Amino acid sequence: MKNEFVRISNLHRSFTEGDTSHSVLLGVSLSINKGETIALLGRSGSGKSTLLNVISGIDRADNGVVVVDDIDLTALSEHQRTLFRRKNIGFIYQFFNLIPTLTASENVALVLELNGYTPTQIQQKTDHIICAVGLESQKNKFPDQMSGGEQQRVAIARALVHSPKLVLADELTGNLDAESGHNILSLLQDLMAQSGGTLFLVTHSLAVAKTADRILTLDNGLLIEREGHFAW
Amino acid sequence: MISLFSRLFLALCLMTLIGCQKTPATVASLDLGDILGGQETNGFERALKKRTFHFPQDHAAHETFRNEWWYLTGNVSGEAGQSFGYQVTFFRTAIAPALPVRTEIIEQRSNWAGNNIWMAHAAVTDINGKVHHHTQRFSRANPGLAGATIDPLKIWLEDWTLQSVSNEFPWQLRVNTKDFGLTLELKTLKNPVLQGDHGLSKKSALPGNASYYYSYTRMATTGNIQLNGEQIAVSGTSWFDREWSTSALDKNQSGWNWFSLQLDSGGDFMYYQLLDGRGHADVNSQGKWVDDKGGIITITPNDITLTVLKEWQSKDGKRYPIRWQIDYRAQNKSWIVEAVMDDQYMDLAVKYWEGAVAVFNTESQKLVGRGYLEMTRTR
Amino acid sequence: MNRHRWQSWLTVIGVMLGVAMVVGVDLANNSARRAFSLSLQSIAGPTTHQIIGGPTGIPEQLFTKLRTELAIRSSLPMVTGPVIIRGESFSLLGVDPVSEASVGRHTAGLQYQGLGTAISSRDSMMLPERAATRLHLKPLDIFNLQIGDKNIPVRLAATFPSENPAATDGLIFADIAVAQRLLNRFGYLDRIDLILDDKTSASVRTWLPPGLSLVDSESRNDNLRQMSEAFHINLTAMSLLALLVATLLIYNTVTLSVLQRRNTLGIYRALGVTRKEVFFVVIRESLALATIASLAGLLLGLLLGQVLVELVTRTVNDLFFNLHVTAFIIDPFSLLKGFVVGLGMSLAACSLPAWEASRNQPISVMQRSVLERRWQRRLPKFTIGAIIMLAIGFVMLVPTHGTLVEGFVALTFIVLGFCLLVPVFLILATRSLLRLFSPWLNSTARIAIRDISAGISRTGMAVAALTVAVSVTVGVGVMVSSFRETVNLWLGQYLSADIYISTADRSGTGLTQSLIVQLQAIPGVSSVSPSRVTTIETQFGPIRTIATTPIKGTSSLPLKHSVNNALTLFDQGKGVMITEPLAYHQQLAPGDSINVVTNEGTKALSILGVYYDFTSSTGMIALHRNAYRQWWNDERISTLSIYRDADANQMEVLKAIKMVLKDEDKQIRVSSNREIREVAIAVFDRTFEITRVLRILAIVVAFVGVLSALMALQLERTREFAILRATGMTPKQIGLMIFGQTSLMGVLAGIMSIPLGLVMANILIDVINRRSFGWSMLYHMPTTVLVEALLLAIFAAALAGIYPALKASSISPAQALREE
Repeated sequence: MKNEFVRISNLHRSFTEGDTSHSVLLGVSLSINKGETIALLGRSGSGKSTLLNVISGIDRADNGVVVVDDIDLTALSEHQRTLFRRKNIGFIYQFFNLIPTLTASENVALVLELNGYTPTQIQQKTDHIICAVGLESQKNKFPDQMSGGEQQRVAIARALVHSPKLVLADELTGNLDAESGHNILSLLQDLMAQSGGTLFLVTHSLAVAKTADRILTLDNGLLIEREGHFAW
Repeated sequence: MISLFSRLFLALCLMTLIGCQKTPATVASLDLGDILGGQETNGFERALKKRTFHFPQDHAAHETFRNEWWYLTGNVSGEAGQSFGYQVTFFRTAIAPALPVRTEIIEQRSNWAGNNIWMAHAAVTDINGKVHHHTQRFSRANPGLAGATIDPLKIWLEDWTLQSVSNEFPWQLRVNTKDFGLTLELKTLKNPVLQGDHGLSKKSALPGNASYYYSYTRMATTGNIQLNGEQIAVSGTSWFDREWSTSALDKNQSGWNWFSLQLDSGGDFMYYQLLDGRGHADVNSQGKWVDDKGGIITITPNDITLTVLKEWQSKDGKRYPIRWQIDYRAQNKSWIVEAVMDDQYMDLAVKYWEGAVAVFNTESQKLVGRGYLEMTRTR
Repeated sequence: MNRHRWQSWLTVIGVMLGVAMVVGVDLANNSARRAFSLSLQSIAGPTTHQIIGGPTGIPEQLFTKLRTELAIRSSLPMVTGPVIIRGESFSLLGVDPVSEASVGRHTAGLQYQGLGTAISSRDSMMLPERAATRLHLKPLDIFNLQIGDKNIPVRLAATFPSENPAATDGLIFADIAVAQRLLNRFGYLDRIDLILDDKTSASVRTWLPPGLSLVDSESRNDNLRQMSEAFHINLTAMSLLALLVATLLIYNTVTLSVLQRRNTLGIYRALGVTRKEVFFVVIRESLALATIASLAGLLLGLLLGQVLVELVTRTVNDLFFNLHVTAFIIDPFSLLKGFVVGLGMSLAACSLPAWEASRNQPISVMQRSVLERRWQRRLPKFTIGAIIMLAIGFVMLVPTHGTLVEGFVALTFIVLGFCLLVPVFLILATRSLLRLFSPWLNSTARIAIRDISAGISRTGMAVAALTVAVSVTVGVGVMVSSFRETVNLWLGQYLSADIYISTADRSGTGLTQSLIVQLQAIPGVSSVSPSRVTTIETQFGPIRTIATTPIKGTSSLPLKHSVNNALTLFDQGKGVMITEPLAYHQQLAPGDSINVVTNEGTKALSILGVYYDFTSSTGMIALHRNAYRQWWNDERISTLSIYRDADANQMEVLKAIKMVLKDEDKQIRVSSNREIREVAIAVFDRTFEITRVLRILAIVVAFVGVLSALMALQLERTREFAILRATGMTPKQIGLMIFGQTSLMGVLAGIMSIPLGLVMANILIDVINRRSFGWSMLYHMPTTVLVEALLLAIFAAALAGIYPALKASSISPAQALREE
């Protein structure tokens, strides 16, 4: 499979809380092609976020292999994974997770700064993406001065501004009303279509999942892929 | 005859001075006998042999001896029938023998330097009022705080003085205390009496345990007593004792009883009874009878019988006889000697009983004289 | 709370240090005060009055007359002098043991042998047992008494247990005859202590010959005591500043603890727990911490007190009064006070957050942003409060003759007002930084800067604590430096001669006229000016007096202000000059007069001028020696000031002088101008050593405060760091960001501490110092003090930032993100 962008095989991850060990991932294997949009369904606590964290290199696997863009993340050091993440991954969270002390455009620019772009490039790219998410008038506002939908747009802009190869979105509509959620989702998909990146959507909304190319379900630590589209 | 005093005097008075402070522990632990035994006599002159007395020179201090005193007692009465007994004593004691002369030439000496400490006692017994006032004073001798000199005669401790404008009688006694005052003029009616053996008064068998001792047994006394803010003109008779010594008593002697009686008949009687360790009369007890012409007869223990008729107990538990029968067999005389007041206790740094007494004829029970009684108990 | 045990520890440490400082200073102060009282009391005992002589002392015949003519029995003669035994300073008291014993003074417990030998011997000494043990002396030991330059062998006759060991420590007793010989005081007494009632005191007063005066012991001692009181107030104020810093720390901790449990507390409220109950839950926990901390503070305070008491007594000795007592006295009341103050301040500090916790709606208890918003809203109020406090503070400083305590209250208002301004300043400062440096700032820097104002409830507190601590350093530093510089300049002016000859021998003939003649004959010596240093009695108590012989037309006295023709009138003996402290304390000015007791009776001398003097905070009088000789009939000379020709060689002149003095038997000291200056400055530095110790302690407390605040700040931002890490920031970048941020806070604290410090210095110099001592000084601001302050603030903050930075950089982003 030449088009394979993410390959996960036999991934295990467990957490220890107190004396009890709690296994979240029990041998997950997955392959994602470049440009694909994947939706991941699952109950609360089923390990969706953990899977995302492992793919982005924020978290480590206990066992198994994670290869992203031909790089074996499990073989990298913490520092190397950070640099990898900085360049190749865009992250969108349910609770937006903007830096409260930075304005909308500064939140976006932060990623570019970290990636070493020149000030001019930063200016251009930031303006461009802010424009693209429709927040030109809001760009100098701080997160707590914006609505949830607006904050999530900033989060999308931040996740996409450096054209990452892989965008991970964790319940991105989970904290928004239905209309805003819909708008945000289509905005993200439009932008992804333009950049040609791979999108990994974690959700428990079937409506959201339906917009994806493939739908996966995480259950009891194992990944089940549903072929074709279901009517629920 | 108060010689034992002086040996105890410094130790006692200083200890008691200290005792009036809040740490009396050292006082309580002090045994009188230790002080007596511990006294160092080296460096002091001692009363070993008879000497010739010179007056008025011998009225001044004899600093080569350790102890010395000037002792006045008397009975006086006022015009309104008040009667009083009084006692004023100046004691001198040397803490150490005077420094050898050679070291003193080398350097300048402070005017405060000196070895003598002085103590004075004063008491008035208000016989009608039944009150016994008594008080004490201490001072170092130098500079000019206390002393005894002649030319003119002056014996003083601070403002208490016994002095004369010359060296002759009359003498002026001036004592002022918080409670009373004495301003008296004294004129002797008899020549001085040399006590003991020509003035050498032996107190024990041990040579040197003796003092030089003379008395004026009868002195006409006039003046004033200040008491309770009143000035009372008085007149009467006084007795003056002078004694100096370095050591006197034996270790096992435990006190004495001393009588000085002035009889209306003109005779004066002195007798001291030394007590041994068991409180019995010591063989060295002695006295003098001075008749109205000044004739002197020595009294030995064989001449006399003393019988205790009544005792009084002090707060510290010591018993003092205050009513006596004296049978002076040699002269075929017998008197009852009775304290004019039971409590004439000198409750001072050195504690003793000293007070005015009345003398009665044993047979007739009539008042035949007055006098003073002194009693000490060391244990 | 468990998770953040460090926070509790830091608070405990902070409060502990604060309480320790209060307790330590209080103990040291009280010990010094007690030492002072004991020093007076142990010498004066139960006496009510003293007869004090003129410069020479009291002729001893007077005592004999007092006893034999006036029959004043409770009279105690005394000769005193300083001696040194095995390197330790003692006061030799020559007393009459018999008199002493009769009023129950000193000789308490003196043993018979001791007393007896004391009076009869020529070299017997008596020591309190404690001192004897310390000096390893047993009765009958021979040892040396150093008196002046001489060593005199004496014998320890006895030791005695003292009823009050602290009072008698530092005293050595001898019979008055022995002391007169050793101190060479033949014929004279230094004082006669008396117990008198009103009637006899009146008659004694009229009886006394001119030149002698009868003073009331109590009022005289009060005068002496008051002199050093200002110094003790100064120390207490400094210790309270440290406690203020500690209070900010407690506030911080409690707020944090409330924040951390906002959910729990919210749920409690939802479940029906009342506001009051929530309030007390918070208070109780804080009180538990404060109790532990205060108790620990007491223990530390005891240790600290022992160190401080030495410094305090040394200062008191140098500045005010020769204390022979240096014991460390543990006053239970000081401990209680420290404990109560520590607990009280803690209670006050935690009641605000506790109240806030109880005020909130259920569930939403104090969300971080809610708190910050509330703070932001409060800022205008803060500013108004600050302005009011500053206004009150400055208005209180206006009256020139206010009390010292008022001065400190004003200073406190100003410090508190300034603290309230700190948050506003921080917000303005960070805003202007962002604006000014906008083009050069990346987002990381922006986060660092904006976090300061965003977390103003934390940062404000930390920066305020640091600002106060550093400003104390600046304030005291500038004050000390101004003082030192002033003293240095003054010494230059005051010590106009090149060489000084002095004698410690008070009663001997002193330096002689023939010596002057001999000295004048030395080639290179241009003039020799004799002066006499002594103490005279005035209506204000005993005052040190210098009788000088100024070289014609000049005055070595640096005059502040004077009447017309002051120098001429002075030379004619038509009046005196007084020092600035005397003028200030007694409110005297040129043209006024001062009553002094002379041998011709009491005289009102007119004040010709006021001169600068730093040798005595109690004041001094200067007059022409001719006038002095006439009124006090005292020909003696204590000091000779020698001026050499401009071209003469100092070393050669000095050598020649020493040759001349070689034959003199007396205790004579020759000092060059430079030597005296060096000694004076050394004494000065020693005096202010205690302020250095207290400054360092204040900084330590502030450091703990900053560390605690930063820890709290970083802890609350864990999630933010996790996001940054997820976005691609490396741990190192996070660490540097925080380190940079705390350093910036240090810089800002440093910058703010400078104006506050300078204001403080001004208040210390112009208000506190003047009200304490009456000295005026030049304002000298060394740039090093300012640079030091800045560096100190940055260093303290940066140092405090290291641990939080490490902590923040090592968080696990996955875990931190999962937790929300």
